[in-house]
Amino acid sequence: MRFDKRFGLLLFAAALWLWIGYSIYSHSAKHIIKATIIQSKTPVRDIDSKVVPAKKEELWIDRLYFPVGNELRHPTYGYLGYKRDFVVYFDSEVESKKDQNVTFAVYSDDGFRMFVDGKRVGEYPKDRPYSRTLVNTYLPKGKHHIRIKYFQGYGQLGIKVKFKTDKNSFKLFGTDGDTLKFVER
Amino acid sequence: MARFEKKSIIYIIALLFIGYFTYFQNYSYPPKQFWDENYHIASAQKYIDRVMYMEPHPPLGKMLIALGEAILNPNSHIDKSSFDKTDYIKRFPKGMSYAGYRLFPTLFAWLNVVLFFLILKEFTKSDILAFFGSFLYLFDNAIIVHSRAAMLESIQLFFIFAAIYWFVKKYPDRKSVKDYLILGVLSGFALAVKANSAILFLLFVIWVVKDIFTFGFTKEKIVQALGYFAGAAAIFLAVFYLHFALGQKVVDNRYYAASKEYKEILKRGETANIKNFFTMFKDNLKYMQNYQKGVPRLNLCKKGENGSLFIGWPLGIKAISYRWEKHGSQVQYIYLQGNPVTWMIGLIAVILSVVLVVAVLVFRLPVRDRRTFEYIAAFTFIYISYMIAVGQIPRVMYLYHYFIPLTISYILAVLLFYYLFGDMLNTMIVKASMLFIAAAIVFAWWFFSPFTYYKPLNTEEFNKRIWFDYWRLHAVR
Repeated sequence: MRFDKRFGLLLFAAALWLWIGYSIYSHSAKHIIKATIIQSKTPVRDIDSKVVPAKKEELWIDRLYFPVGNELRHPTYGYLGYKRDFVVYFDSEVESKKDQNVTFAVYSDDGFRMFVDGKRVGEYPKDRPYSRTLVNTYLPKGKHHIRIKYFQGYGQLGIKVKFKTDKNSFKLFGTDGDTLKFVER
Repeated sequence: MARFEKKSIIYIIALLFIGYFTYFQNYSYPPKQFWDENYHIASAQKYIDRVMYMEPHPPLGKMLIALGEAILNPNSHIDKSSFDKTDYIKRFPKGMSYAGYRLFPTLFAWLNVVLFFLILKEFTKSDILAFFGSFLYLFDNAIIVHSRAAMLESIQLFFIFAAIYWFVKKYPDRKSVKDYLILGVLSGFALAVKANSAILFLLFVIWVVKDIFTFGFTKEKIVQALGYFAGAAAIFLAVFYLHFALGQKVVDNRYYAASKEYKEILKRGETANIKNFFTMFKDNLKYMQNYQKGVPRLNLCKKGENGSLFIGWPLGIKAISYRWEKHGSQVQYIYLQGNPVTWMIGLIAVILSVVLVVAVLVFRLPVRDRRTFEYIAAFTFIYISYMIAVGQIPRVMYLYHYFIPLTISYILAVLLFYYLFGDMLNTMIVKASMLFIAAAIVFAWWFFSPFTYYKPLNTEEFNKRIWFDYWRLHAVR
C-alpha cells in the first residue's frame, strides 16, 4: 500500500501546531521555585559578602538548573544577563509524605548555603569551580520551606540541585519524587 | 476569463484588508525613532530643504521617505533645520510626528502583498493557494516591524517583487527587447534603493539561459541584453541626477567627499546641469566606497553586538532590540524578531528545494512538472547565490539583510507546495492542511505581535517567547 502524501501534508500542519504548543508550554515555567536574583554593585567573593543591590529581579522556575557557562541561563528563559557579582535566593515549599532522610546534591560554581525551615543544613561558603556538595537532612512528614542562597563572583558560573529519598535515584530539584512533592504556588 | 480575474480581485481586496491591519494601521506609532531612522530621516530632510549630501546607500529610498513628509507635512510647526547639519540625528524635536517620513516605506510594504499574491498566482494559477501563500509575507513579524519605519527595505522589496513578477510573467514566452527593458527598469529602481538589489541581475541571466535553450541563440539577444542594461542604467542614473539636482545648498561647510570641481558646481548653482553629472556621480561613488570601508566588521565578542553571521539568518540569528521603554514591571519592545512559523517554513522549503534540485540533476529523479521545477531551480539558485555573495562582505551585516532570500524562501515554499500537491488542491485534506498551516502562521504572528507593535510585556510573558536561545532575545529587567 502506498502512502498518500496528502496525509504527509496534514501531518506537517499538525507538527507545526505541536511545535507551537510545545514551545509555549516549555517556556512557561510553573510557579515551583521563586528565584530572587540580586546584582551587586560591589564584589561578591563568598556567601557572606555584603551585597549592595544594583538590580533585583524575581523569577519563577520549575527546576533548579542553571547550566555551566559565562552567563546565568535557565532552560526555560534562556540567557538572563547576569555574569558576575550576584546572589540568588531560591525559595520553595515541599511536602514530605512521611518522616524521612533526604539527600541533596548541590552542584555549584561558586558557593551556596542551604536552609530548611530557616535552619542552616549545608553550605559551601567560598568560591570554587563547578563541584558537588552533598547535604543530608531529616524531613518530618508535612510541609517545609527550603531556601538555597547561591553566589557568583566572577568567571564561570552555574548551579544544579538534585535530591534523593530512601533508596531512590537522584531527581532534579523541582520535580516530584515518590515521597517528596513540590508545592506549586 | 473575466470571472477568473474578478475572483482574483476579491482575493487581492481581502489581502489588502488584512494587510491594512498587519502593516499599515497606526504605523506612526511609536512616535519615537528607532534603528536607522536617525540616519534616514536626516538624509530625507535634506531633499526637502534642497541641501546637498552624500550617503552610502543609493538615493531613491530616502527620496520617497522625504516625499511622504512633504505630502503629509505633519511637522510644519517644528524647526527641523538641525537635521540638515548632521547625518545622524541624536535628538528629535519634542512632539515630532513620524507619519510623513514613515508613509512610503509602510505604504510600499502594504502594497507588496498584492505583488506577492500576483507572483504566486502566476506560478500556481490558483487563487486560493496564492492567497494563503501570501500569508507568509502578510504575517511576518520581522518584515512588518522593519517596514513600519523610515527605512529602505520595504521600498526595495516592492521593486524586487515587481521585477520578480515581470520575470515570472514573461518567463515561458519569446521575449522582446521591451520585455528586457522593463525588467531592467524594475531592477534599476530596486538598485537605486539598495545596492544588494544587484542580485536581480540573476533574473536577467536566467531569462537569457531559458531563451537560448528554448528558442536558440539569435543576434537579437544582444540587443535585448543592451535593452536590459540600458533600462537599469537609465533609472539608476536618473535617480542620481535627481539627487544632485535637489542638493543645491551646502550647510555648515559640509561638502562630504566633493572634489574641487563639484564645489565649484555647487557655488555656481549648476547641480541640475546635465553636463556636470559625471563629476558629481564620480564623487558620490567614491564616497560610497570609502564609507563601506569604514563600517566596522562583525565582532561577536563585542558586548551588545547587533550584527550576525549570514549563516545563522535562516534560523533567525539574531534578533535586534530596536527600542524599549519600561513602565513599572511592564516593558514595551520593538524587536526585529521574525514569525518563527513562516521562517521555519521558509527554511524547510530551501532545504527541500536543494534536495529536489540535486535529486533531479544528479540522480536523475523524474520531473513531474517541468515548468514548476524550473522555477524551483531558478529561485534556489538565486537564494544560494545571494547567501554566498553576502558571505563575502566583510562589514557587519544584520538580520534584515536576509529579507530578500527570506521572501525567496517563501516563494520556494509555495512552489514546492504546488509541485507536490498542485493536482490535489481541491481535495478536502489538502484544503484543510492549508487552513491549518495558515492558522498557525496567524497565531504565531499574534503571539509575537507585542514585539512588532510596541505592546507591553512583563518578564514572564517575554520569556514565553524565547523559543530558542540563539535568537538572543533579552528581556529588559
